[in-house]
Amino acid sequence: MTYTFLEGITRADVAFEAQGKTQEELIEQAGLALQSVQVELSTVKPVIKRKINIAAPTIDNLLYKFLEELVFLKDAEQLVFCKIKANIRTDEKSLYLSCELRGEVINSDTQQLGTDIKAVTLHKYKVEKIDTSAEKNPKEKSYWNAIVVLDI
Amino acid sequence: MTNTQTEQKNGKENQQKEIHEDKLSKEYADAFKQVSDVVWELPASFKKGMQVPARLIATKELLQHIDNNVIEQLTNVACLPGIVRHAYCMADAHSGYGFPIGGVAAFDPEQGIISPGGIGFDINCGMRLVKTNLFLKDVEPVIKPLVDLLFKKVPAGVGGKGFVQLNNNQFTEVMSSGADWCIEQGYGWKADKEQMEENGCITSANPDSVSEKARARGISQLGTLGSGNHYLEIQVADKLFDEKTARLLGIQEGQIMVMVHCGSRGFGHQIGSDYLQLFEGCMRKYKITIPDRELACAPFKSNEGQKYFGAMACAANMAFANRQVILHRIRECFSHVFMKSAEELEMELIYDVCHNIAKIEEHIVDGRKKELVVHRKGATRSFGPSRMTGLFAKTGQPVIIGGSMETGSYLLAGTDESESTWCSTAHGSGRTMSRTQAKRMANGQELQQKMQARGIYVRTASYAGLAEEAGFAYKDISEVVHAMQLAGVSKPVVALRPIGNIKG
Repeated sequence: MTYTFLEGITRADVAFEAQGKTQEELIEQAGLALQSVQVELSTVKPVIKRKINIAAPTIDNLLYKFLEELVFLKDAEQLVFCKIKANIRTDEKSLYLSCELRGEVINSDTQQLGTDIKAVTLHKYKVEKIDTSAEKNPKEKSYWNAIVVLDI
Repeated sequence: MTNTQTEQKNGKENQQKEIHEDKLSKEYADAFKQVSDVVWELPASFKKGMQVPARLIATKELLQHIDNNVIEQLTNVACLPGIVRHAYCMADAHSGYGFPIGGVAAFDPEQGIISPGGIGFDINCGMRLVKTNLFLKDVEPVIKPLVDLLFKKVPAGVGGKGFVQLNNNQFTEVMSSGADWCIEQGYGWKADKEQMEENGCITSANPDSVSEKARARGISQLGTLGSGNHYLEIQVADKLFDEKTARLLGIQEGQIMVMVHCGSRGFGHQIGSDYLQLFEGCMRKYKITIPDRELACAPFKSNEGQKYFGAMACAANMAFANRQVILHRIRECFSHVFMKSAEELEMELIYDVCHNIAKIEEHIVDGRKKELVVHRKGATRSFGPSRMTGLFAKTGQPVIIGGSMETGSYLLAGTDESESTWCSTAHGSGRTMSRTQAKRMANGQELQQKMQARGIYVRTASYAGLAEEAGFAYKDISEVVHAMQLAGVSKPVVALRPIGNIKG
């Protein structure tokens, strides 16, 4: 699946929509959408590996915490990522995300940098499972969709 | 091809048909009652839950092109518990999250709330204006080396580490004492302190309310600009509107000034995020319901509200310190290029204002003095002469309005009539277009060349970021300044034209 940037939601900030066949893919695509605001992904080499683990009661909350962590790593460790591999385990209480990130330290000489992200907002924030089974010849029976506004 | 590239390609092909223009809907236009030439009011009956009427300042031209989301957000603000008199929006309004940008609201400290959505994630994002005794003829020949040196010495863009290395204890001191800490360390002049809102230090700071994550994000960022609409600009005083006030402030036509726009960087952003989540979780306990998650709030006097107020002040102080060490760098760079000391160049601070903050201020409510929690998000305090001391008791508080990098900025002065908006005015020109759309319509490199041909030398950390900030993405700043003057809340003193710009 993919991500696209949206207009008409915000003037000064950036809004995107991410889609994934699974919750894992949604996490990966949303993470790449966020990173692509800050840097042209093709100019980032996957030389540093980071593992992060996040638990949350809902996928809505899990995605928010994950995106926030990416913003945190950009400031605290100067890291941007071009590859994201997510795995989610679920029990009756929570969702547990185990994620492998690959990227490198911010470098304006070698990377094509974009715009700094201040925060992940809850403005128009929405994570939902879209049921497409009623559609004619759907590619997937259902998929996960998220709308996120980033404060710039 | 990456998703971004595909987006951009498809976008360019469809450029014409996708251009979006803001237009106020008929429903809103019909509901507005005209209070004066530039003040428009929606009554509290306009929307269920509104506690007070909502007021918008705009000329007829600006009103016609207001984004409808601004009205939705402004009327949401009017629903918040404990709001006093009106929810206001200044003439540079554009939609944000929670409050609109340009939003001003005051709350009763006992019955009312505090909301990070009324302040913004970039706590104490603000403006600083410095004068020099140089004129255009002195600076034009060296504008390139000067801007290049500033670009090298003041980190801008994604991430970025500043030149001031702090340990944890020193960072705590910055949180508590703001610009004072910098001046004590030699990053400034004693006189700078008098030229800042709150003298560059908010005393209610409580470092114990700040998370480890916020510390980790901010500790290496002192002295960095950031990106988005943040900049450092060399300007010329182009037109004096009020010669007497300009003279009192030490400004003549043709004089070179330096303007800085930045805030509390990742530190403030993390504090905003931390408390937005905390407040979301505690509103049920306080029986608060809100129309938008970004308006998450807590009673001002609650434990959570006070913790946020203390943490917010830490971020505000970090922002004052950030702009102070950047001023130090600016003085060093000018001194190097002109081979004179900053004192010889008379690089005195004109003023430093906050435009994303909540403060306790005394105002007149129903004929009586009352303390209020005034939120300003993309709005500037504009105290008139009667609330100021020293030189500013003659001029009113200097108000710095940052425009787009192409069209210029303004220095205004606050008026005593600004009591009508809780002593607030605009903060900039306000966007009319999304970043994605602006990027589609402008190419960063081409824009840089065009600006250079017009006498504005720009260095940027990101060409995509530069395109997002193109002048056409903003409202007409003169119209905004005019609207605020007609409302009586600020008066123009000097128009400032850019000749050199560093863009994050």
